[in-house]
Formats: sequence, structure tokens, C-alpha cells
Amino acid sequence: MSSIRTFLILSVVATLVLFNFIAAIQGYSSSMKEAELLFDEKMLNTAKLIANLHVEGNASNIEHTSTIAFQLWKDNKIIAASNNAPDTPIADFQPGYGYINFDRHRWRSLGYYDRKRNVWIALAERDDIRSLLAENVILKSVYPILLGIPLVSLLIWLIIGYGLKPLRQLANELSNKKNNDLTPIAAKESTKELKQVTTSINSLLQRLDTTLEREKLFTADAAHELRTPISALKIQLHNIKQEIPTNSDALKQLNDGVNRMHHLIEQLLLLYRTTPEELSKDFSEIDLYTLTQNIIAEHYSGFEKKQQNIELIGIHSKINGNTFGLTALIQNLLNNANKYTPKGGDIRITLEETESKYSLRVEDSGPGIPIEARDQVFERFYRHKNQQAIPGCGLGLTIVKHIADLHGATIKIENSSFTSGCAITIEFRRQ
Amino acid sequence: MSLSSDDNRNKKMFLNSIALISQEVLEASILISILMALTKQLELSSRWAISALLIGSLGAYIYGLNIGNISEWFDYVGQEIVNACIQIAIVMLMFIATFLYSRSIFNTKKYGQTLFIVNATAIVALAIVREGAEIYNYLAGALTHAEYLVSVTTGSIIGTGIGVSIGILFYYALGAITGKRRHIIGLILFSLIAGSMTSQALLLLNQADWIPSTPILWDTSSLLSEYSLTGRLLYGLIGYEATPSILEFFGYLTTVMIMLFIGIKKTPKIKCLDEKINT
Repeated sequence: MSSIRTFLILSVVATLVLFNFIAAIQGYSSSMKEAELLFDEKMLNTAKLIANLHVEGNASNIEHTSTIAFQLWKDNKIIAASNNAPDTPIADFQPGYGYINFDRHRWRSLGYYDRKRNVWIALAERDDIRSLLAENVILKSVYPILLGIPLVSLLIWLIIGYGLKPLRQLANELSNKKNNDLTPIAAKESTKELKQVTTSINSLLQRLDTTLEREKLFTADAAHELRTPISALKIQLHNIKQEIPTNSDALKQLNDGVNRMHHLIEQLLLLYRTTPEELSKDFSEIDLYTLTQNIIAEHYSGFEKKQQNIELIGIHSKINGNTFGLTALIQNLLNNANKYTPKGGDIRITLEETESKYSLRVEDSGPGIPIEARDQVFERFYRHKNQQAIPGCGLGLTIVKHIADLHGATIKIENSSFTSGCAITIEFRRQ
Repeated sequence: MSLSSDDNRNKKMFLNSIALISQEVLEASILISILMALTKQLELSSRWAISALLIGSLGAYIYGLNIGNISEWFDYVGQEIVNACIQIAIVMLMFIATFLYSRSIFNTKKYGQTLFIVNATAIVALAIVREGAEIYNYLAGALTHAEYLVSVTTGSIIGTGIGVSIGILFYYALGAITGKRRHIIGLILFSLIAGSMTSQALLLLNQADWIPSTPILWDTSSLLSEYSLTGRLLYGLIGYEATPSILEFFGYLTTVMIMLFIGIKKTPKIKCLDEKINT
């Protein structure tokens, strides 16, 4: 069901039309039967009248219509007849009604015997004319039904629209809510049925708010609390390095482990700091080109270490955003490119501007992201099975998506223009 | 004493108009309802129905306008032959639609969906050409008598109203059925309509003397007349005929079997898919 309103209007109007029209047909059929009886009674009265006219000979001088024909029979001879009647009997010599065909038409016939004068009156009336007359009268009672249907449909449309107004208001209120707005819904003009829905939604929002708050606090607290022991660990590790041989495998693994843990904690803290309520506080005009240039310069040693060719192409485009958030976004994209691009590989950052948007594109010549995994890479802690060997915690692209969403930007993953690798494009709307 | 042929026909123009128009509209509207319900099940847009209605109406008008010339084809049985060809073409397209529908559930590739929509549009457009031309001819003939203008117009409106209303209610009733049951009911109804189309095509070819007459298999006209409202509804739904010939019945049965074979072939996978979704 695509729309409750359409469904209700169409199904109610269809039911109404169906039952009204069937009732009209039934009404028509029974009225036609009644009309037939009425016409028959009129024929009988006409036959009695003719019997009393005392006409002899051809009755052509008697005023009659071409829709009625009659004969007066006495001793099996016609003693009078209308000029449109044939020479043969137009009704049986038996009292009662029947049908007969003559003069290229079907006629309703009546045989009537007058005892006083000992004459048979055979009367016939054009059947099609009778039906037409009856139909024209009866159909007049069908017109109100036909004319009423559009009017009733309009009323149904208005009534259903009015009845669904509270639901529409609730839907609007929910769709107008911002992503981070978990405040209860105001139940304006709420109906009995919707009150229950509103109460349930508000209860859900409240539970969600509490859970999210608890999760945020836990992440932040855990990261903060873990930062100190990790720093201490790093210092102790540095001291150990001075005391034991540097080529020790165990020490190397310990060092890698501590670095991974440090990275994870930093990323978790970053995720917390890039929540909408944190980032939206401080938006300003930022030159994306300069910001990217600075980040590359800051992390150049990493690219140099892997002898990667990094190039920045584009123009100085200014967007309205949060410096901390955008720095984290670019850092994460470059960090990913650096990690997944092999030694001596290529990384290209392109900044473009069109009439409606600015785009930041980071391409690398790494292994790329398989098509089926492209939606999942934005999930927290997701790591594709092919990338398990490369150190990481699966939060980088989550943070990127998070910050992009906050800036109203869209994100897409494609194949890079190099022989392998992926291209991640962030498109910011122009103000 | 001869009777004017117009008399009996004209006597109940109102009821005649209702009967003819409602039957033609009902056949088309039930076909549209089933196809729209299937389209909805495949989560595709139903806008194709508007194009099909427009193309079909235009085709019906052109066909109706040229019916005189067409009737003269093939030794004056042109109309029967063309109508039979349209019916057979619809059945073939329904086979393709069933094939695509049964597989589209699992294969959501764009070209499969496009092909299904084009197919559905063609089926409905052709059905409207066929039914619409009948309506056009009837109205063109009936409305030449000014005295019957009111009864024919009123009857036509009521007939259209009944046909369209049943179609709408039928569409929502099909929509109310969920899951695998909708697939099965949709497939069965679709098969029965295809069977009815084949049976009609065979009847037309027999009327044109292109295929031999075969004996009547049964006569249920005393139990349920084809001309009663229920009879007409069943005719539109499952192709009910009170006096089918052996050949018509055989054609009907064969079409239904082929359709079910095409449609049911992949049904076990639906079970797997449902289970996957449920888990």
C-alpha cells in the first residue's frame, strides 16, 4: 500500500460505486416489471373503451396512434379495425396477454371478450415504444446516483484527508526532526489511536537517547582512561628498547600492539569528538585546498617512507565547515591511502568545483574495495577479509562518513583511475 | 409478419450496454490489477499502466475506426482472425511475463525489470486494443439512434463503473495477500486468464472456419449463465464458459499447465529466500 489515503479513497469509492450501480440495475429491472404491469392495465382499459364505442366497419376514422392497433371480431369476422392492423387476428381469441410480430415490429397483444355485444377485441401496442417510454422514466431515477458519485467521491476525499490529518502532522513532525534530535514529539490534536503511537515513539526516543548518551560517555571515558596507561606503556617500551636488542621479535610485536591500541583509542576519541552536537558548534569558511596541502605536509614523512607519489590537483575552494572535523576527514582518507597503497604506489587528491558542488577526491593505487563491500566499509569496526593483514581498527571510514554527513556532503566509492585501487569522493553542496 | 431486428436489441439498450461494457472493462481491469500487483511485489513503479492505457486506447480507436476494412480480410473473417491473433500474442507475452516474474524475485538486474515492465505494458495495451475496439464498435452502432442516446450512455457509465470498481477492489485484495501465497495466487489467476485468452482465440478461429468444430463438452448455462453478473465476473476472472467445446477446453488446460510450469519451476527458491529473510 503506497498511500493510506489513496487506498481508502479508491477502495471506499469503488465499493460505493459497485453497490450503488448494482442496486440501480436491480431497481431498474423491478421498475421495468412494474411499468409493464401498468402498461398492460392501460391496454385492458383501452380494450374496454373500444368495446363500448359501438363502431362498425373500418375504424380508420377513429383517432389512434401508429403505436396502437386494434380489431373487433364478431363470428370470426372483423367488424372494425384500425388501419394499421393486419387482416389476421393480432391476438388470440382467449382473454389474456401475449406477443405478436407484424408491421416489422414486436407488439404486446391483448385478447378481450365483451359478453354483452358478443365481440372479441384484439388490441396491440408497440413493445419497443412501451420499453422506451418506461426506460426513459425509470432512468431518471438512476441519474441522481450517477451524478451523486463524483460529488460523494469528492466528499470522501475531503473527509479521509481530514481524518488522516493528525497522521500527516505526526509524519511531518518526525521527518522534520534532525538526526540528533531525540526530544519527545508534541502530540498536537492527537487522536486516541495516535496518542498510543506518539507515546510509544516518545518512549523509544527516550530510551534511545539514554542508550546513546551512555554509549558516548562509555566510549569517551574508556578512551580517556585508556590513554594514560597507553602513554605509560609507550614510555616503558621506549625504556626497554634502550636495554634489550632492538631486533627482538617480541619487542617489535609488543611495539606494534601498543601502537595499534593507541591508534584505536585515538580513533574512538575522534569519533566522540565528531558527534553532531560537538562539531556543529564551530562552523567557519575553510579553504579545502590549503587544509589538504597542510595535512599532506604534516604527514609527508609517512608517504616518503613508502616512497609513494602523492599529488594534489585542484583549485582553492572555500566551504562552510568545521576545521577539526574536516582535518580528521582528510587525515583519515590520506591515512587509508597511505596504508593500503603499496610501496612506490600513487596517491592523487583532486579538488574540483562545479556550479552546485565542491568535490574532494582521494585516489590510490592500492588493492581497492570490492563492489559488494562498498556499503559496509562505513560501518563501525568493519574490515574486509582481504585487508586483515594491514593494521587498522575499522573506524577510519566511519569517521569520514560521520563528518561528511554532518557537513551535508555525499560520499561515494569508485574504482580509481590508476590500474588498481579505489577513489573516494566527498561532494559538498555549494552555499 | 417479420420482426424488425432492431426491436429486440433496442428493447433493453440500458441492460445491453451495462452487460457488454462491464464485461469488456472487467476483462481488462482484472488483467491490469494482477499485473500491477505483480509489479508491486517486484517493487517496481506502476507508472507503466498509464502508458499502457494511453497506447491501448489509441490502438482501440484506430482498430475500431478501421474495423470495416479489417472485417473484409481473409474472405470476410478478418475481424475474427485479427482478434484471435491479438489474444494469442497476449498469451505469448503472458508466458514471457511469468518467466521474468518468477526469476526477477531473485535477479534484480535492471534489464530484467525493464523487460518485465515493457512486457506488462504490451499485454495491457493489446488487451485494451481488443476490448476497446469492441466497445467502440458497439457504441458507434448504438449511438446512431438518437432515442437510445440516454440509455446507452447511462448503461455505459454504469458498466464502466462496475468493471473499474471490481478491478480496484481486486487489486487491493491481491495486495492484502502476503508472501509466498500472493505469488501462488497471482500465478494461478494469471494462468487462468491466459487459459481464457487461448480459449477465446480458438473460439474465434472456429467462427472463422480456420479450425474445425468440436462437440460441446458440457452445458452449465442452466446452473450459471454466462450473461449473469456472476457469470460475467467469472468469465473475466477465470474465463468461465457455460458451453465450452472440447478444443477450447483443451487449449485452456494446456495454456494453464504451461503457465504453471513456467511459474512454479522456481518456487522452491522462494522458500529459501523467505527462510533467509526470516533468519
